[in-house]
Amino acid sequence: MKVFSNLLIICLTITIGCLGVGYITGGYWLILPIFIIMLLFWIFMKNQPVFWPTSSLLVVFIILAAVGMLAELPFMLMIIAGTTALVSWDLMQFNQSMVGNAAPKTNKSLEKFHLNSLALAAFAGLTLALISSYISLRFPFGLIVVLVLITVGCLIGGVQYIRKKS
Amino acid sequence: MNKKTFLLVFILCGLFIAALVARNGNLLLLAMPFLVYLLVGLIQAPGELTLISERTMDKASIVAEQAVDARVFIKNSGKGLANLHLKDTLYPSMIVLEGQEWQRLSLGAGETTELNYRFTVGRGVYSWKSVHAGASDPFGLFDLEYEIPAFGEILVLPAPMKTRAAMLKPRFTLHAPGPNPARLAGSGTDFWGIREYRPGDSLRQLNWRLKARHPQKMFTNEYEREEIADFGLILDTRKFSNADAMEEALFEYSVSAAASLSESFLKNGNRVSLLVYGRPINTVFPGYGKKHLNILLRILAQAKLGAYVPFNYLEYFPARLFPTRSVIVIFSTVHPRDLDVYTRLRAYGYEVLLISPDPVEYAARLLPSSELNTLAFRAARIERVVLLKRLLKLGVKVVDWQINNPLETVVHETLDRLTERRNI
Repeated sequence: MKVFSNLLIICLTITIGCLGVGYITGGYWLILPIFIIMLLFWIFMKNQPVFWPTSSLLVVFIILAAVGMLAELPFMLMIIAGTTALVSWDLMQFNQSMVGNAAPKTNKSLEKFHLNSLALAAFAGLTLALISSYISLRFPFGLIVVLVLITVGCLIGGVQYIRKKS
Repeated sequence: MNKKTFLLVFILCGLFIAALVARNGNLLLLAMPFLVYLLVGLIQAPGELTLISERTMDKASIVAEQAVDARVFIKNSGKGLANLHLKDTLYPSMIVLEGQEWQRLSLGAGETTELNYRFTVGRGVYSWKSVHAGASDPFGLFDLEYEIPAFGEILVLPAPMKTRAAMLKPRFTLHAPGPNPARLAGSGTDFWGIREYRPGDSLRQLNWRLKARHPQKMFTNEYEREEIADFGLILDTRKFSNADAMEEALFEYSVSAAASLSESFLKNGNRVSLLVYGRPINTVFPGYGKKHLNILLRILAQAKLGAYVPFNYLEYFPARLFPTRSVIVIFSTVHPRDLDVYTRLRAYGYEVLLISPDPVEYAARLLPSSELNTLAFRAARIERVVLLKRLLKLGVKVVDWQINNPLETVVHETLDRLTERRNI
């Protein structure tokens, strides 16, 4: 579990660092009060169930990264911040689910499995995002709307299918 | 499908729509790690659960508040499960002392695991039908919930009390050898009287001292016959007030007393019947032996306080439940409205013994002492004493039980006092 805690701190630092560096180099000093508000929010939500504070933190990080993209800040930093925010969120959820687990022997294999899958997902996601950034495709707006609608539709349909199945 | 998946889908949809509105393709790059994360989860999601479980308890029946070990053995006879959550059902009155009733682990194909825990639990019959198992992908995004059959049951008996059936001497007995003095001459151990010798009498029973005084005649000693008797137990489970905690505590004492007395009666060979009176009503017709005792204890273990039902309904119960001239032992805190029923029971020829845990004394010990409370307790005590005296006049043997005193002593003292009064 110590590995997980250390990894969590590292990922959170990378997220905040990437966002901070990106915004400050772009001249948006207003990011600093937002970080302070986030810190206060984190302290305030400490006693609440872990899902909501961590999820709201993830949403705020993604919004900041998206706004950074729109403001044409270095997109590499924003993607890394988004990915590490996702990893941090996952690690926090996992840490919480393992609190007080009765089987310390079996914990290790579970942790190892989780860490491998997470590393695979994060690395693959980041690589795909970086590769995609070099591919420049131009479509008419109407086609993009159709593509996005199809993607969102498939996503929702897939989710509903899995929900029915489970 | 759970709230984690919903959140990820919400973020993805948000990013797609934002990219569309802002006409900025770079925003889609941000969605890429989330999409891959969901995909990795989906690929590793479990197809089905093939788990076999077996539950064992180290004891089939225990006494209330005694610790018991539960062990649930689980085997994965299907594919390996990356993230498995096992959880056993805990009843509200259960307290886990050691171990845990849940476990999160990764269980490979053919591997086994065990849920081991030690717990204490209040009186009752507790049964388990299954163990809850939830399997998901390593990120916990796509869940499969199952109830794996794992049957188990434990009977938690009321806490035992020291009682002796011998302290109750029924007036009427059944004509079969037993422990109760039958007020008849016969084969026994207690001296009953002397009569003139009849041919066939055992020489051992000849009274030689009397023979010395009357040389022309011979006399034989007679002993009191000992027989079994019919005992009927009535456990009053009606709620009389809104003081739930107090009534519950007194009720537990009544149940323990009923269980201990029934055990004592049956061990001496007597015939015992039981009526748990309240809502719901439970009856056990007269019977003997260990099997009958188990039935009685099981019914008593399940007894719970219920809504108020008038005691008058007792008239409609079949006479077979309480054979005529049997001793009826009632465990109740007594209500003034029940007086008619006691009158009728006495009129039918039953010998009635009322064991009544004292609610006034119990409440007085719990509540803070103030001038108002003192007056209230005094009034309540007077009311109770008047009620119990009216019962005494009806010929009911009343045991006013202050629960900090042992039941055996209280019953013994009360019955002795009543016998002395009758002799006077």
